[in-house]
Amino acid sequence: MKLNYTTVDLAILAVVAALFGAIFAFAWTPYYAIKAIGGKPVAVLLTYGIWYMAAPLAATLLKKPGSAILGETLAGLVESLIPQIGGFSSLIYAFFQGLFSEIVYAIGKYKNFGGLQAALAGAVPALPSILLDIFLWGSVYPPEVFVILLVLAMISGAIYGFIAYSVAERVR
Amino acid sequence: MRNKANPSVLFLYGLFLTILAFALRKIEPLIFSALLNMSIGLILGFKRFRFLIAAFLLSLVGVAVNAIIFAGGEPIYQLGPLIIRSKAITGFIEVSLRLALMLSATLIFSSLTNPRDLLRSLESELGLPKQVSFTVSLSLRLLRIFEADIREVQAVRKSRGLRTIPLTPSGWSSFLSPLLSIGLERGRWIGIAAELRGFSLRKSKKTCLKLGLLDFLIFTLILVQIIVFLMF
Repeated sequence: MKLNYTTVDLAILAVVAALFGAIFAFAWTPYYAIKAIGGKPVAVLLTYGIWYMAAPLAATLLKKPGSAILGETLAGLVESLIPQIGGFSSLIYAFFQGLFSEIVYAIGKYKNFGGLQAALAGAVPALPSILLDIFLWGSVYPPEVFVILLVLAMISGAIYGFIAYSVAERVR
Repeated sequence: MRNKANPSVLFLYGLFLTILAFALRKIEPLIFSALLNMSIGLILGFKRFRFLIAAFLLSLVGVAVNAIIFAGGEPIYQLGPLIIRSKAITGFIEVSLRLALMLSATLIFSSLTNPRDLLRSLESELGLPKQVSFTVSLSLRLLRIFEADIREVQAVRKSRGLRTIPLTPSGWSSFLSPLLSIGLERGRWIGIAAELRGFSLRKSKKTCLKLGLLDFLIFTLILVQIIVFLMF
Protein backbone atom coordinates (compact mmCIF):
# COMPACT_ATOMS: atom_id res chain seq x y z
CA MET A 1 0.00 0.00 0.00
CA LYS A 2 1.47 3.37 -1.00
CA LEU A 3 1.07 6.14 1.54
CA ASN A 4 0.32 9.39 -0.26
CA TYR A 5 1.49 11.95 2.24
CA THR A 6 2.07 15.52 1.08
CA THR A 7 4.75 17.67 2.70
CA VAL A 8 1.97 19.53 4.57
CA ASP A 9 0.72 16.18 5.93
CA LEU A 10 4.24 15.37 7.12
CA ALA A 11 4.50 18.78 8.79
CA ILE A 12 1.14 18.19 10.53
CA LEU A 13 2.41 14.79 11.72
CA ALA A 14 5.49 16.61 13.05
CA VAL A 15 3.20 19.03 14.91
CA VAL A 16 1.28 16.12 16.48
CA ALA A 17 4.57 14.38 17.40
CA ALA A 18 6.09 17.54 18.91
CA LEU A 19 2.88 18.54 20.73
CA PHE A 20 2.52 15.09 22.25
CA GLY A 21 6.25 14.77 22.88
CA ALA A 22 5.82 17.86 25.09
CA ILE A 23 2.42 16.75 26.49
CA PHE A 24 3.68 13.23 27.35
CA ALA A 25 6.55 14.72 29.36
CA PHE A 26 4.20 17.28 30.97
CA ALA A 27 1.50 14.68 31.79
CA TRP A 28 3.67 12.93 34.38
CA THR A 29 3.01 15.84 36.80
CA PRO A 30 -0.81 15.39 36.91
CA TYR A 31 -0.34 11.59 36.86
CA TYR A 32 1.77 11.65 40.02
CA ALA A 33 -0.42 14.37 41.62
CA ILE A 34 -3.59 12.30 41.09
CA LYS A 35 -1.80 9.10 42.14
CA ALA A 36 -0.78 10.74 45.42
CA ILE A 37 -4.37 11.93 46.10
CA GLY A 38 -6.52 9.09 44.74
CA GLY A 39 -4.16 6.15 44.23
CA LYS A 40 -3.04 4.38 41.05
CA PRO A 41 -6.51 3.29 39.77
CA VAL A 42 -7.81 6.88 39.80
CA ALA A 43 -4.58 8.10 38.18
CA VAL A 44 -4.92 5.46 35.44
CA LEU A 45 -8.56 6.38 34.82
CA LEU A 46 -7.91 10.11 34.64
CA THR A 47 -4.59 10.20 32.81
CA TYR A 48 -3.57 6.99 30.99
CA GLY A 49 -5.63 7.93 27.93
CA ILE A 50 -3.42 11.00 27.40
CA TRP A 51 -0.65 8.64 26.22
CA TYR A 52 -3.02 7.08 23.65
CA MET A 53 -4.28 10.38 22.17
CA ALA A 54 -1.71 11.05 19.46
CA ALA A 55 -3.01 8.24 17.22
CA PRO A 56 -6.71 9.24 17.06
CA LEU A 57 -5.71 12.91 16.80
CA ALA A 58 -3.38 12.31 13.84
CA ALA A 59 -5.95 10.05 12.17
CA THR A 60 -8.78 12.60 12.61
CA LEU A 61 -6.60 15.39 11.22
CA LEU A 62 -5.15 13.53 8.22
CA LYS A 63 -7.78 10.82 7.55
CA LYS A 64 -5.20 8.67 5.75
CA PRO A 65 -3.97 5.08 6.16
CA GLY A 66 -0.97 4.91 8.47
CA SER A 67 -1.66 8.25 10.15
CA ALA A 68 -2.58 6.69 13.53
CA ILE A 69 0.52 4.52 13.83
CA LEU A 70 2.77 7.29 12.48
CA GLY A 71 1.31 9.93 14.82
CA GLU A 72 1.73 7.79 17.93
CA THR A 73 5.10 6.24 17.01
CA LEU A 74 6.70 9.54 16.01
CA ALA A 75 5.48 11.15 19.26
CA GLY A 76 7.04 8.21 21.14
CA LEU A 77 10.26 8.54 19.14
CA VAL A 78 10.50 12.26 19.93
CA GLU A 79 9.85 11.53 23.62
CA SER A 80 12.50 8.79 23.65
CA LEU A 81 15.14 11.04 22.05
CA ILE A 82 14.78 13.51 24.92
CA PRO A 83 16.89 12.22 27.83
CA GLN A 84 14.43 10.73 30.35
CA ILE A 85 14.23 7.79 32.76
CA GLY A 86 12.12 5.56 30.52
CA GLY A 87 14.66 5.72 27.71
CA PHE A 88 13.55 3.96 24.56
CA SER A 89 10.60 2.26 26.26
CA SER A 90 8.43 5.21 25.12
CA LEU A 91 9.14 4.23 21.52
CA ILE A 92 8.26 0.58 22.11
CA TYR A 93 5.03 1.46 23.94
CA ALA A 94 4.11 4.07 21.30
CA PHE A 95 4.70 1.70 18.38
CA PHE A 96 2.38 -0.98 19.76
CA GLN A 97 -0.24 1.54 20.92
CA GLY A 98 -0.19 3.16 17.47
CA LEU A 99 -0.42 -0.24 15.79
CA PHE A 100 -3.53 -1.18 17.76
CA SER A 101 -5.15 2.22 17.02
CA GLU A 102 -4.33 1.76 13.35
CA ILE A 103 -6.06 -1.63 13.36
CA VAL A 104 -9.31 0.07 14.45
CA TYR A 105 -9.23 2.36 11.40
CA ALA A 106 -8.06 -0.47 9.13
CA ILE A 107 -11.02 -2.66 10.18
CA GLY A 108 -13.30 0.14 8.95
CA LYS A 109 -11.24 0.23 5.69
CA TYR A 110 -10.28 3.84 6.44
CA LYS A 111 -13.78 5.05 5.52
CA ASN A 112 -14.82 6.37 8.92
CA PHE A 113 -12.80 8.77 11.04
CA GLY A 114 -15.61 9.77 13.42
CA GLY A 115 -15.99 10.03 17.18
CA LEU A 116 -16.77 6.32 17.66
CA GLN A 117 -13.63 5.23 15.78
CA ALA A 118 -11.56 7.77 17.73
CA ALA A 119 -12.93 6.48 21.05
CA LEU A 120 -12.14 2.89 20.00
CA ALA A 121 -8.71 3.92 18.70
CA GLY A 122 -8.12 5.45 22.13
CA ALA A 123 -9.38 2.43 24.08
CA VAL A 124 -7.70 -0.45 22.21
CA PRO A 125 -4.07 0.67 22.84
CA ALA A 126 -4.67 -0.14 26.52
CA LEU A 127 -4.18 -3.83 25.58
CA PRO A 128 -0.52 -3.63 24.44
CA SER A 129 0.17 -0.94 27.01
CA ILE A 130 -0.94 -3.08 29.97
CA LEU A 131 0.67 -6.17 28.41
CA LEU A 132 4.01 -4.36 28.30
CA ASP A 133 3.39 -3.20 31.89
CA ILE A 134 3.02 -6.89 32.84
CA PHE A 135 6.46 -7.65 31.35
CA LEU A 136 7.91 -4.77 33.33
CA TRP A 137 5.94 -4.77 36.58
CA GLY A 138 4.63 -8.35 36.69
CA SER A 139 6.76 -9.25 39.69
CA VAL A 140 5.18 -6.49 41.81
CA TYR A 141 1.47 -6.43 40.86
CA PRO A 142 -0.76 -9.51 41.05
CA PRO A 143 -2.78 -10.44 37.89
CA GLU A 144 -6.10 -9.13 39.25
CA VAL A 145 -4.60 -5.65 39.60
CA PHE A 146 -3.64 -5.70 35.93
CA VAL A 147 -7.20 -6.68 34.95
CA ILE A 148 -8.58 -3.69 36.87
CA LEU A 149 -5.92 -1.41 35.36
CA LEU A 150 -6.73 -2.68 31.86
CA VAL A 151 -10.43 -1.85 32.23
CA LEU A 152 -9.65 1.59 33.66
CA ALA A 153 -7.04 2.29 30.97
CA MET A 154 -9.53 1.34 28.24
CA ILE A 155 -12.19 3.66 29.68
CA SER A 156 -9.61 6.43 29.98
CA GLY A 157 -8.38 5.81 26.43
CA ALA A 158 -11.93 5.94 25.04
CA ILE A 159 -12.61 9.26 26.78
CA TYR A 160 -9.34 10.85 25.63
CA GLY A 161 -9.71 9.36 22.14
CA PHE A 162 -13.06 11.13 21.83
CA ILE A 163 -11.52 14.33 23.21
CA ALA A 164 -8.76 14.07 20.56
CA TYR A 165 -11.47 13.77 17.91
CA SER A 166 -13.52 16.72 19.20
CA VAL A 167 -10.46 18.97 19.59
CA ALA A 168 -9.23 18.06 16.09
CA GLU A 169 -12.65 18.72 14.56
CA ARG A 170 -12.92 22.04 16.41
CA VAL A 171 -9.58 23.44 15.24
CA ARG A 172 -9.34 21.96 11.71
CA MET B 1 38.71 4.49 11.49
CA ARG B 2 36.24 6.72 13.37
CA ASN B 3 36.88 7.30 17.04
CA LYS B 4 33.24 8.28 17.66
CA ALA B 5 30.45 5.74 17.99
CA ASN B 6 28.05 5.59 15.07
CA PRO B 7 24.70 7.16 16.16
CA SER B 8 22.68 4.41 14.44
CA VAL B 9 24.63 1.72 16.28
CA LEU B 10 24.07 3.55 19.58
CA PHE B 11 20.35 3.84 18.81
CA LEU B 12 20.15 0.10 18.05
CA TYR B 13 22.06 -0.64 21.25
CA GLY B 14 19.62 1.53 23.24
CA LEU B 15 16.71 -0.38 21.71
CA PHE B 16 18.48 -3.69 22.44
CA LEU B 17 18.87 -2.77 26.13
CA THR B 18 15.24 -1.66 26.39
CA ILE B 19 14.01 -4.90 24.82
CA LEU B 20 16.23 -6.81 27.28
CA ALA B 21 14.59 -4.88 30.15
CA PHE B 22 11.21 -6.21 29.01
CA ALA B 23 12.27 -9.67 27.90
CA LEU B 24 14.69 -11.01 30.52
CA ARG B 25 12.76 -13.31 32.85
CA LYS B 26 15.66 -14.70 34.90
CA ILE B 27 17.33 -12.56 37.51
CA GLU B 28 21.00 -13.52 36.79
CA PRO B 29 21.26 -12.14 33.22
CA LEU B 30 19.16 -9.15 34.34
CA ILE B 31 21.62 -8.36 37.15
CA PHE B 32 24.56 -8.79 34.75
CA SER B 33 23.12 -6.52 32.03
CA ALA B 34 21.84 -3.89 34.46
CA LEU B 35 25.10 -3.63 36.40
CA LEU B 36 27.29 -3.68 33.29
CA ASN B 37 25.32 -1.01 31.42
CA MET B 38 24.54 1.14 34.45
CA SER B 39 28.29 1.27 35.21
CA ILE B 40 29.02 2.36 31.64
CA GLY B 41 26.10 4.82 31.73
CA LEU B 42 27.24 6.36 35.02
CA ILE B 43 30.84 6.70 33.82
CA LEU B 44 29.70 8.43 30.65
CA GLY B 45 26.79 10.51 31.85
CA PHE B 46 26.95 11.03 35.61
CA LYS B 47 28.00 14.69 35.41
CA ARG B 48 25.68 15.68 32.58
CA PHE B 49 22.57 13.77 33.64
CA ARG B 50 22.58 14.06 37.43
CA PHE B 51 18.93 15.15 37.40
CA LEU B 52 17.96 11.92 35.59
CA ILE B 53 19.83 9.79 38.11
CA ALA B 54 18.13 11.69 40.96
CA ALA B 55 14.72 11.16 39.30
CA PHE B 56 15.53 7.47 38.88
CA LEU B 57 16.38 7.14 42.60
CA LEU B 58 13.11 8.90 43.46
CA SER B 59 11.18 6.54 41.20
CA LEU B 60 12.67 3.62 43.15
CA VAL B 61 10.84 4.94 46.22
CA GLY B 62 7.59 4.59 44.23
CA VAL B 63 8.57 1.06 43.18
CA ALA B 64 9.23 0.16 46.84
CA VAL B 65 5.86 1.56 47.98
CA ASN B 66 4.01 -0.34 45.23
CA ALA B 67 5.92 -3.53 46.04
CA ILE B 68 5.02 -3.26 49.74
CA ILE B 69 1.33 -2.59 48.99
CA PHE B 70 0.69 -5.06 46.17
CA ALA B 71 3.23 -7.91 46.23
CA GLY B 72 2.28 -11.20 47.90
CA GLY B 73 4.31 -14.00 49.46
CA GLU B 74 5.20 -14.94 53.01
CA PRO B 75 5.37 -12.12 55.58
CA ILE B 76 9.01 -11.66 56.54
CA TYR B 77 8.91 -8.43 58.51
CA GLN B 78 6.18 -6.59 60.37
CA LEU B 79 6.27 -3.09 61.78
CA GLY B 80 2.84 -2.15 63.15
CA PRO B 81 0.34 -2.29 60.26
CA LEU B 82 3.18 -2.48 57.71
CA ILE B 83 3.88 -6.03 56.52
CA ILE B 84 6.76 -6.67 54.15
CA ARG B 85 6.29 -9.88 52.15
CA SER B 86 8.92 -11.96 50.39
CA LYS B 87 7.74 -11.09 46.87
CA ALA B 88 7.93 -7.39 47.72
CA ILE B 89 11.70 -7.64 48.06
CA THR B 90 12.30 -9.79 44.97
CA GLY B 91 9.79 -7.72 43.00
CA PHE B 92 11.46 -4.47 44.04
CA ILE B 93 14.90 -5.76 43.01
CA GLU B 94 13.65 -7.08 39.69
CA VAL B 95 11.74 -3.94 38.68
CA SER B 96 14.61 -1.70 39.84
CA LEU B 97 17.03 -3.64 37.63
CA ARG B 98 14.69 -3.34 34.63
CA LEU B 99 14.37 0.42 35.17
CA ALA B 100 18.15 0.70 35.62
CA LEU B 101 18.67 -1.05 32.30
CA MET B 102 16.32 1.42 30.59
CA LEU B 103 18.03 4.40 32.19
CA SER B 104 21.45 3.11 31.18
CA ALA B 105 20.26 3.03 27.53
CA THR B 106 19.43 6.75 27.80
CA LEU B 107 22.70 7.60 29.58
CA ILE B 108 24.85 5.78 27.02
CA PHE B 109 22.97 7.11 23.99
CA SER B 110 22.65 10.71 25.15
CA SER B 111 26.25 10.89 26.35
CA LEU B 112 27.75 9.70 23.07
CA THR B 113 25.51 11.26 20.43
CA ASN B 114 22.55 13.57 19.78
CA PRO B 115 19.22 13.25 17.94
CA ARG B 116 20.33 15.33 14.91
CA ASP B 117 23.38 13.14 14.21
CA LEU B 118 21.19 10.09 14.71
CA LEU B 119 18.65 11.22 12.10
CA ARG B 120 21.40 12.08 9.61
CA SER B 121 22.98 8.68 10.17
CA LEU B 122 19.68 6.77 10.00
CA GLU B 123 18.76 8.48 6.72
CA SER B 124 22.11 8.25 4.92
CA GLU B 125 23.48 4.98 6.31
CA LEU B 126 20.46 2.86 7.16
CA GLY B 127 18.07 4.15 4.49
CA LEU B 128 15.41 5.70 6.73
CA PRO B 129 12.89 7.42 4.39
CA LYS B 130 13.54 11.16 4.11
CA GLN B 131 9.89 11.82 5.00
CA VAL B 132 10.39 10.21 8.42
CA SER B 133 13.66 12.00 9.12
CA PHE B 134 12.07 15.32 8.02
CA THR B 135 9.10 14.75 10.34
CA VAL B 136 11.25 13.82 13.34
CA SER B 137 13.75 16.68 12.76
CA LEU B 138 10.87 19.13 12.52
CA SER B 139 9.26 17.68 15.66
CA LEU B 140 12.48 18.15 17.60
CA ARG B 141 12.66 21.78 16.48
CA LEU B 142 8.98 22.35 17.34
CA LEU B 143 9.26 20.65 20.71
CA ARG B 144 10.89 23.63 22.46
CA ILE B 145 8.28 25.97 20.91
CA PHE B 146 5.46 23.80 22.23
CA GLU B 147 7.05 23.72 25.67
CA ALA B 148 7.00 27.53 25.62
CA ASP B 149 3.38 27.45 24.36
CA ILE B 150 2.40 25.16 27.23
CA ARG B 151 3.85 27.65 29.74
CA GLU B 152 1.94 30.46 28.01
CA VAL B 153 -1.36 28.52 28.11
CA GLN B 154 -0.71 27.82 31.79
CA ALA B 155 -0.20 31.55 32.45
CA VAL B 156 -3.47 32.41 30.66
CA ARG B 157 -5.34 29.69 32.56
CA LYS B 158 -3.95 31.02 35.84
CA SER B 159 -5.09 34.56 35.01
CA ARG B 160 -8.60 33.21 34.34
CA GLY B 161 -8.73 31.33 37.64
CA LEU B 162 -8.36 27.84 36.09
CA ARG B 163 -5.96 25.07 37.16
CA THR B 164 -2.58 25.44 35.47
CA ILE B 165 -2.23 21.64 35.40
CA PRO B 166 -5.38 20.00 34.00
CA LEU B 167 -6.57 17.10 36.15
CA THR B 168 -9.75 16.07 34.32
CA PRO B 169 -10.55 15.10 30.71
CA SER B 170 -12.51 18.34 30.15
CA GLY B 171 -9.54 20.28 31.53
CA TRP B 172 -7.31 18.55 29.00
CA SER B 173 -9.73 19.40 26.20
CA SER B 174 -9.56 23.12 26.92
CA PHE B 175 -5.80 22.86 27.48
CA LEU B 176 -5.12 21.17 24.12
CA SER B 177 -7.37 23.26 21.86
CA PRO B 178 -5.22 26.43 21.70
CA LEU B 179 -2.00 24.39 21.44
CA LEU B 180 -3.31 22.38 18.52
CA SER B 181 -4.86 25.40 16.84
CA ILE B 182 -1.59 27.33 16.76
CA GLY B 183 0.39 24.16 15.99
CA LEU B 184 -1.68 23.31 12.92
CA GLU B 185 -1.29 26.83 11.57
CA ARG B 186 2.47 26.52 11.96
CA GLY B 187 2.50 23.03 10.47
CA ARG B 188 0.62 24.07 7.33
CA TRP B 189 2.97 26.97 6.64
CA ILE B 190 6.09 24.93 7.39
CA GLY B 191 4.84 22.24 4.99
CA ILE B 192 4.15 24.79 2.25
CA ALA B 193 7.55 26.44 2.80
CA ALA B 194 9.37 23.08 2.68
CA GLU B 195 7.55 22.15 -0.51
CA LEU B 196 8.41 25.49 -2.11
CA ARG B 197 12.06 24.76 -1.33
CA GLY B 198 11.77 21.50 -3.27
CA PHE B 199 11.50 18.97 -0.44
CA SER B 200 9.73 16.33 -2.59
CA LEU B 201 12.45 16.52 -5.24
CA ARG B 202 15.35 16.26 -2.78
CA LYS B 203 17.29 13.03 -3.07
CA SER B 204 18.77 11.41 0.03
CA LYS B 205 22.52 10.87 -0.12
CA LYS B 206 23.29 7.24 0.65
CA THR B 207 26.61 6.42 2.28
CA CYS B 208 28.11 3.20 3.59
CA LEU B 209 27.75 2.42 7.28
CA LYS B 210 31.01 3.63 8.82
CA LEU B 211 32.04 1.69 11.88
CA GLY B 212 34.77 2.54 14.38
CA LEU B 213 36.42 0.91 17.35
CA LEU B 214 33.61 1.96 19.71
CA ASP B 215 31.01 0.39 17.41
CA PHE B 216 32.84 -2.95 17.50
CA LEU B 217 32.98 -2.61 21.28
CA ILE B 218 29.18 -2.12 21.32
CA PHE B 219 28.68 -5.20 19.13
CA THR B 220 30.91 -7.14 21.55
CA LEU B 221 28.75 -5.96 24.45
CA ILE B 222 25.62 -7.16 22.64
CA LEU B 223 27.25 -10.53 21.98
CA VAL B 224 28.38 -10.93 25.59
CA GLN B 225 24.89 -10.17 26.90
CA ILE B 226 23.30 -12.62 24.48
CA ILE B 227 25.78 -15.32 25.61
CA VAL B 228 25.00 -14.62 29.29
CA PHE B 229 21.26 -14.77 28.47
CA LEU B 230 21.72 -18.16 26.74
CA MET B 231 23.85 -19.51 29.61
CA PHE B 232 20.97 -19.09 32.06
